[in-house]
Amino acid sequence: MVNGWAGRTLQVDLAKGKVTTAPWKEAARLYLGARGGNAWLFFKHSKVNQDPFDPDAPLILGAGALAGTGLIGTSRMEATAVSPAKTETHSYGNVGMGGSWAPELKFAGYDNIVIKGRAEKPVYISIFNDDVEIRDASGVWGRGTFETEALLREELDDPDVQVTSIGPAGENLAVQATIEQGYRSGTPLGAAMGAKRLKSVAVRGTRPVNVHDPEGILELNRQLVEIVKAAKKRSGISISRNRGTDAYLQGFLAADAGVVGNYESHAWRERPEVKRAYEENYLDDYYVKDIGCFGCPFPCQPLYNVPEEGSCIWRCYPTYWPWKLWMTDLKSAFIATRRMTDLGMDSKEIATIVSWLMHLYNDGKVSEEDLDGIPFDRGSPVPLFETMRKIAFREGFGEVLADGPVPLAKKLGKAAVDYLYHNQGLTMRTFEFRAEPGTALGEAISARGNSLRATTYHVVLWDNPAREGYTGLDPEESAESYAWAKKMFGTESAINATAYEGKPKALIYEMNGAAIADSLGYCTSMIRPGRVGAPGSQWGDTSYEFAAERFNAATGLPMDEKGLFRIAERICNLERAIVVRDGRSRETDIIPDFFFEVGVPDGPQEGRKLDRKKFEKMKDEYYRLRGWDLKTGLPLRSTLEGLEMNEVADTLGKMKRLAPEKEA
Amino acid sequence: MDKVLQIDIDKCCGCRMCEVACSLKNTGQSNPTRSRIRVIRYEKTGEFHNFVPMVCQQCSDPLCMEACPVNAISRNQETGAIVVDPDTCVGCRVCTIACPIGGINMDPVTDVALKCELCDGDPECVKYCYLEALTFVPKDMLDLSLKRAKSQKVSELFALMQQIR
Repeated sequence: MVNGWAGRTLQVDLAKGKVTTAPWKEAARLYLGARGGNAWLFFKHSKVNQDPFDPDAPLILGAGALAGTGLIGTSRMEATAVSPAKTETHSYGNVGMGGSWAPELKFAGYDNIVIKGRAEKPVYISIFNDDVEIRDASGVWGRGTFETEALLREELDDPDVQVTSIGPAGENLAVQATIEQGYRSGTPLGAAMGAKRLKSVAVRGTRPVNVHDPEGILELNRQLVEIVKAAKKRSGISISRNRGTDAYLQGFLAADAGVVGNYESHAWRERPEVKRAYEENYLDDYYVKDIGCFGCPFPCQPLYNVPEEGSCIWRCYPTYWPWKLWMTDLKSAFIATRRMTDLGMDSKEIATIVSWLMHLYNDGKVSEEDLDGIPFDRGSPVPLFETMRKIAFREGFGEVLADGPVPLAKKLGKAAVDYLYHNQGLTMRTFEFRAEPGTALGEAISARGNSLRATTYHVVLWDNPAREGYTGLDPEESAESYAWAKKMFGTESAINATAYEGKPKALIYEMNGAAIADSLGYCTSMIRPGRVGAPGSQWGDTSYEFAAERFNAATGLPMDEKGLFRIAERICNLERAIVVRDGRSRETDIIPDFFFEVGVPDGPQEGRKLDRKKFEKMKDEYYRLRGWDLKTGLPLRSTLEGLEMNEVADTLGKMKRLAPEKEA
Repeated sequence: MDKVLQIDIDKCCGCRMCEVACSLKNTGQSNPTRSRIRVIRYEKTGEFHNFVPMVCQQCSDPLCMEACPVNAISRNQETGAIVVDPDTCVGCRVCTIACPIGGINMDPVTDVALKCELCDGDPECVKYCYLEALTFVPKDMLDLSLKRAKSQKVSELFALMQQIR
């Protein structure tokens, strides 16, 4: 009997209409599940440098190793595919989502699904325990993700079916399209699903997930509830972000850490309309209640309702993208978030594109004529609404833009190219890389790039600049954090946002922590090794030890901090092997020159920019710590073999994509 | 003293932690299908999300007990819980028809009636319900917190009226 895992992989070939299963056992031990497990299945099933729309390109949906075990906060799933925004430096896309889909898949008896082939006509996959069907999706093709979920539940006559879908944006192969589930989504992989003519995967399971020590799991859960209760008593804040009292947001506002416009300003909090928008109407006008994921009694997703429009979750990321558009009209921001969720598209990607066009328009570099007659005025919601629709349905300038911002930039001319800051074909997140070398390093090196979860949780690294007026961190916690940083990384500056020293080691610690959380299916706010003593630590201990103890209770396999760190190393090396296989190297571990050349225009970090020499030095240290070749950024055979990755090493070796072996 | 499992549906976030806890405690597996409490979800993503935890209310005049043709259902005098004797139960399902609130159902594995028996007076599910949609309260305090929550609005209205005058 398997404990923790379901022990099976479901394999669906949409072209042949064939459904098979395979054991999920040996790879589970090495790569756990979800992000790590998906990476392994991707490595096995994908071809070198595969086109995102190649019918044989695999789409992998995986549940976390601990999903469905009953441990609080383990309900995440991961989707993995060739990134539709594929560029010469980028091949690999993965995205995590919470909700109820992952545990439902486990209750149906599977850890993950490998989907290959392109269906002749639009289909969806329906899973009810052992009954797996590829069904006609003509009734839902073209519909939004909300309606699709409702219609499929009706068609399958079961309101408890968990549905993950693409919207019109994914069907039309927009690179900004997402795979949506509930309200949760992330890096855009919707087009990879749309290319398979796969609308949805609907799952229902009624079976048990076996666990090694049920009483142990209950005890660990009880402890966590007590910890959160105690934190609430102490600080008055129970769950970060609930009721919209977003710890990040408060920190960002207090520190002016958020980016306004297209990296045009930081001075935002002084504006009275901002204060009013975020502090008042944000909470009271639209808030309904908090909802959350399966098996987590601490719901952190505020549900908002806009009369006449409908409701939607509006959580951490969407709370700061309106700044990119100079928007304080949060009602429009809610509506936009809801429509993007329904169309199945990434709010960060769309908002950043609009921000870029607004910048160009404001500077007179493009005109209304270039943009289908739409004035891209700062703060106006009109360009946002128009752009999302045009991309989703490939209308007007949306036709080109749906292939990514780079093609449109090329069409609009030099200024448009210069103003576009992107990483591997996708726009940058809202972080101020110029003031955060550690975050910049993560962005440059991470396999999928362009991603908070794969890079670093920069909040802890913002401690120093954010300290003043930042209510999230009390002085005692701050002192503790610094002592911890010194012990772990040899220098206090490792958690100081603007410093370079100690960053590579701290970053690896964080990236590995994210790899573990994402592979166990754990909520990242619970397993967040680098955030000990930092805001958001209402969970108490967020270390590897926390995860190890729980992993052991669920699976019965011995595990400790060292063991998990090793698995994380393996997962990160596998992801590196995949992108290296497809062409990545040291020269392409980069972020735009802009962040090295143009200083921060205003705010507390005014004038700051990245230092190329120091940045490259950080890269050296990072590669050294990872066991990669300094010159090329390719992994060493000994590194991979030391992590029981001989098969991966052999594949890379045959392709001459291993570093020349020498004493490192 | 008898204690009662109290439900406040306004507070339920639909996480189903109660189902997980119930099944882990009573079956040793994580298995909502065999949980004695079920959170029924009324959801339309983009519109609304409402959750109703359904569990036996340990009726003072239990129809399931009356209806059981083999007398497999009785009250535990110590905890006040209505309990099923699995050895006596024949799986006829009459109790599930008789129950007015869907508080008893069949265990798909054992094929006998399955219902909340208050974990021998220490219900597991409430321990994880951080938002206190489920609480285990002394019988003579039952519904008081619901009354308090609802009266708050009246009280606020009253204060407002006082001000206006």
